[in-house]
Amino acid sequence: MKKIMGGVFIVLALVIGIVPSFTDCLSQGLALTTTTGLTVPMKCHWTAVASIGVGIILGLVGIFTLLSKRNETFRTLSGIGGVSGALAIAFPTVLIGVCANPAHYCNMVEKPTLILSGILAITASAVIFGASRKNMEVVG
Amino acid sequence: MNLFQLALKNISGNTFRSFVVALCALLLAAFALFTTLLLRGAENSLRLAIDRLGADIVVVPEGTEAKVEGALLMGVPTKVWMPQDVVKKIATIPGVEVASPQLYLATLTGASCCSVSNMFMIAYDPQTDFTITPWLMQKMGKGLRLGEVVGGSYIFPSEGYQNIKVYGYLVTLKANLEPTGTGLDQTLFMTFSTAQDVSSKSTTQALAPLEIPSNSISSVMVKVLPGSDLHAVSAQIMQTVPGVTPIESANMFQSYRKQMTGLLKTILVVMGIAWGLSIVLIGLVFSMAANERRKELGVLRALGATRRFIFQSLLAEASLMAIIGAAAGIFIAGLAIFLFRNFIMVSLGIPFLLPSAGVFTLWVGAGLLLALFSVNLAALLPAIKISRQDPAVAMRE
Amino acid sequence: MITLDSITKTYQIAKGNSVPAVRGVDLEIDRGEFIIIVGRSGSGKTTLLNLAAGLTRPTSGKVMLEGTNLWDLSDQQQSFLRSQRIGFVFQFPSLLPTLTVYDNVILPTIFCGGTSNGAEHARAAELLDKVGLADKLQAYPRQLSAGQQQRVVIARALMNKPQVLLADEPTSNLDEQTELEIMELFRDLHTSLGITIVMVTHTRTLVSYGTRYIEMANGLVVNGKA
Repeated sequence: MKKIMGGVFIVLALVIGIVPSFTDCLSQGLALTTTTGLTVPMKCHWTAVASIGVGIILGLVGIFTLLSKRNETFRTLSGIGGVSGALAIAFPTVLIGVCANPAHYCNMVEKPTLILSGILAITASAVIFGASRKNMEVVG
Repeated sequence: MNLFQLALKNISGNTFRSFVVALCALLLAAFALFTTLLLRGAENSLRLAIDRLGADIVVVPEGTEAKVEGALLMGVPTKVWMPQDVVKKIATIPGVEVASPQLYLATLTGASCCSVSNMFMIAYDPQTDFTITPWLMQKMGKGLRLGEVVGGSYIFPSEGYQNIKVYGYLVTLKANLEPTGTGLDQTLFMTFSTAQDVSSKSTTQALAPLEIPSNSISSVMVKVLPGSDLHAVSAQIMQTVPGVTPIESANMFQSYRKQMTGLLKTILVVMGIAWGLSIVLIGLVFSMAANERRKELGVLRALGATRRFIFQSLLAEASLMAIIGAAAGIFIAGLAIFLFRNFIMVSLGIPFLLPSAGVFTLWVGAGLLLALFSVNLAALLPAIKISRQDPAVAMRE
Repeated sequence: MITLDSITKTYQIAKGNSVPAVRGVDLEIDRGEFIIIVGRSGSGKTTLLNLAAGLTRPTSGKVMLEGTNLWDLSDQQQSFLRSQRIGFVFQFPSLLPTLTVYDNVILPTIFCGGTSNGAEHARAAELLDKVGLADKLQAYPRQLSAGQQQRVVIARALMNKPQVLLADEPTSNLDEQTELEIMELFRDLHTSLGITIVMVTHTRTLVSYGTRYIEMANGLVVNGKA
C-alpha cells in the first residue's frame, strides 16, 4: 500500500508541477498592462510558478517512498507529503491566489486542479502514515 | 474476533488484490455519481433558468428560437429584432396579464472599449418588467438608475477596476444575481434607458457603435392571468401577431433537452459496458484470490468453519473493499465535480448546477449501494465454489 | 472414541479414471492413545486422517465420533463438532499470515461460539507458554522460524480443549533437531493433558513416541493393530 501511494505521489507531483503552467492566464494570452505600458503576469501565473516547487518536492517524496523500507522514513515522508499537499491548496486560495473572474481559465482549471491534487496528496500521506504505524517490527 | 475483523485483516494482508477490487469499485461509483450529478445538474439548471425568466410565454421573432435559447442558456450573444408594436398587440390578447419587452445586445469582441468581451446584455423595460425589478426591489429596495447594471453571478469588474466598460461607457455593477448554471450567469441586465444612452454615446466613445434599430425589440416576456389556458393564449398570439413564435416555458430549451437525452443514452450505454467489465474483472480477481487461498480456507474448515462461514467471510471481504473503494470514488468524484463545475459547463456546452445537500446525499447512498451490489455479485460465484470445496482436496498440493 | 468402519475413499481423476486412496480400512481410536500411522507417500495415511476428521466424505463406510456418524450430521453440526472435539496440526505452514500469533491461536474460538475475551486471552497465553512462545503474542508468522510456527499451530489446535489431536506429518518440513523438539512436545502434551493423538508420518524412527503404530501401503493397513 505504501508503494502504491508512492506512485500516487509521483502522479500528483506531475499534475501539480505541470498543469498550472498551462492553465494560468498567461498561457491563455491574458496579462495586466500597467499605466506605463508594461505587460505583467497576473497572480495566477505566480501560483503556477510556486506549484512547480511543490511538484518537485512531492515528486521526491514519491520516489523516496518507493525506495524506502523503514517505518520511520515512511512517517517522515508522509509528513512532508501532507505539507506539500497543504501548500498546493494554499497557494491558489490564500497565499497567492488566482484571478477573481470565474470565467478565467485559471479559476476554472488551475485552481480546482491544485485543490483536488492537494487534497489527494494529504489523503495519500495519511494512508502512508497509518500503514507505517500498523506494521511495527517486533523485536525478540 | 469476529467475521468482519477477520475479513478486515485479510484485506490488509493482500494489498495489491484488495487495491484492484477497491479500484474497480472506486471507478464504478465515481463514474455513476459523476454522470448522475452532471445530468441532474443540467436538469436543475434548466428549471432554474425557466424560473429566472419568470415568463409563462417568451415571444421571439419567427425562426429565432434556437438562437434565443442559446443566448439564454449558454450566454452566447445574439441579436434578433421584431417591431415594437408587437408588445401592444400581445398585451391586448385575452388571458395576458403583462407583456414586457426586452432587447438582446452584446459587447464587442476583443475591443479595448469593452472590459468584458462578447458578453450578452439584456435591456428591459422597468415599467412592465416582472423578473429583474421585483428581485431588485427585494435586494436593494429600488430599481436601477441610469448607468447602473445588474450582473449574473459571473459578472465582475476587471482586475483593478471598479466599473465595467461597455462601448466606452462606464456602467456601475449594483448587484449579482444568484447562480443558475446557465448563460444568464454571464449576462448584464440594464434598463432600456441605459441601453439607449450607451448606444447614443458609443458613436463617439467606442470602436464600433452599439446599434439598436429604432422601434424594435428582441423578445416579449408574457405573464398570463392565473387560471388561463397557456396553449390557448399561445395559439391566440400566433394568430394575432404575424412573424413571431411564442415559446411556452414548459417547452423552453427543447433542443438542449434533446441534447441531454442523447447524452444520457450515450452515458447509460458506456456505464453499462463499464459495469459489465468491472464485474468480470472483479470476478476474475476473486477467482484467482480464492484459488490462491484455498489451502488457507481449507484450514479454516478444518478448524471448524462451516461452508456458510467461508461464503460469508469472502462476501464480507468483498463488501468491505466495495465500501472503501466506493467511498473513495464518491469522495473524489464529488470533489472533482464541485471544483470543476464551471469548466464542465463551458467545455460540455450544457448548463449545470449542483444539487442540494439532501439530493447529493441520496445519490451518494445510491453510488455506495451500486458498488456494494456489483462487487458482491462478482464475488458470488467464486465464493460459492470455494465454500463448497472438499477441505481435504483444498489443502492438497 | 473415533471408529472408521470399512472406510473407502476413491478420488476421481478424470472421466473413467479413479484412484483408490483408502481401501476398506477398519480403525478404532481409543481415548488416551498416541497412535502413529506410518507409510510411504501415496499409502493413504493422510487420506485416512482426513476421513477421521470428517474433512473428506468417504466413498463408502462410516466415520463414527463418540457413537455419532459424522456424515449423518449437517455441515453446521459437523463443523461445530470438529471445532469442539478435534484439533488439527498440518504438514504445511497453516498459520494465517495476516493474523498475529495471538489472533491465530484464538481463531478456533470463532467457530464454537467464542468464550469471553478474558478467558480467551488467558487460555491463549497459557498454551503459548506451554509451547515455549509466551513472548511472541504480537509477532506475525513471517517473523517466526518453521519450528516456532509449528508450535503455534499446536497451541491453536489445543485452544478449544479438543479430545483428540490429529497431526498430519507435523515435522516433515523441520530439521532433525527441531523435529525431536516437536515430538517431545507432543509426548509431553499426551502425558500431561491425557489427550488422544493420532499422528501421520513417513519417518519410522518416530514410531517409538506412540503407544501404538499402524503401517499403511496402497490404501490398506499392512502392519500393526487397527
